[in-house]
Amino acid sequence: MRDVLFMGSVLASATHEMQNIIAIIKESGALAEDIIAMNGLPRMKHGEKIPQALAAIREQVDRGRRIMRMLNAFAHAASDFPEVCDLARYTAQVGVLAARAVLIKGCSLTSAPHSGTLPVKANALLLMQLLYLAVLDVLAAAGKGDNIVLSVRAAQDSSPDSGTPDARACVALRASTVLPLCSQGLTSLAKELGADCLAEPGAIILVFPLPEVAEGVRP
Amino acid sequence: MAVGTMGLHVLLVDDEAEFASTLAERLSLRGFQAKVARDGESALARLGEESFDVVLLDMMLPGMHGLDVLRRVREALPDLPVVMLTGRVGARDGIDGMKGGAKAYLSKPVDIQELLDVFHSLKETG
Repeated sequence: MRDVLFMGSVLASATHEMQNIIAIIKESGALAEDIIAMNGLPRMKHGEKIPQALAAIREQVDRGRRIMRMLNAFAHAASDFPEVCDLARYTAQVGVLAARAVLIKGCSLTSAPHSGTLPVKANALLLMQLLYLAVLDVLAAAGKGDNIVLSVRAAQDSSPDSGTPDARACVALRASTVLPLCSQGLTSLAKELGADCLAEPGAIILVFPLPEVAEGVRP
Repeated sequence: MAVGTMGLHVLLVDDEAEFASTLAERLSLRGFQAKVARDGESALARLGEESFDVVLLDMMLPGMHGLDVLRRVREALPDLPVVMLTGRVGARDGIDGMKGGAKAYLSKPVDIQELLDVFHSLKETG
């Protein structure tokens, strides 16, 4: 536990610094764009390539910003230990953090948009680990060029015992051409978190019980 | 830029000198009068010497924390709007700032249009 706290704390600090660096690159590139927008391009050889170069800086800054924001959230999950997590937010974060693994496999990953929060009672770090493992499990079975769709939703099932609605939150990972299986590691981690891990044709579905009492979701 | 915000005096409080000066430059190109302070103490000193329309205040400052600076600004100049800047993901820092009396919060890196919109809405709401 001490190691995790240490890692989380160092990573949070480093990613904060990286965000400052990205902010400076962004502002400097944007300042150059502002000046060109006001005065036109400088008359110089190859000057027409400047806007293209500045656009590349802008795009890569946005890319770096997305990754760094998710990495910063990951670091805080390791150091802050929120008891109630927003499943929608953590799922989106894992989608970004898994980008490299998805790319190496020659696949793509799409996070379906979800509005609002889905609070679940879970250790944030374990939750992210579970979601990441689920992505890896789907990737292990996916073929090159496959698109994995990551989506979250709230669901209500009738409890057979009480007949009352049983609120749940679900994460689904669907791939178009494969039949992914839940690995042993994924199943046991899901169990540790009190979640069910279901394998459907072409999909892994993780089902979480919602907290009984509405509790504040740590942003 | 909205005409209403032209000439607005902005105090940027950020220890990242390069970030603050470049953002100040960009605001100046849009007709703002932007000044920079590197930490809470010098920001408070500057606010005692000059009149500003809005403060853009980073949360993580060396020495006095952004929230402490916010509290001191609110005590000394309760009508001066403060916009918090946070490098942290999620809304927690921003919510802490809003609870402390900030008018808005923005994440770093800042989107200039978002910042201009905030200034414009502050100007409109007085």
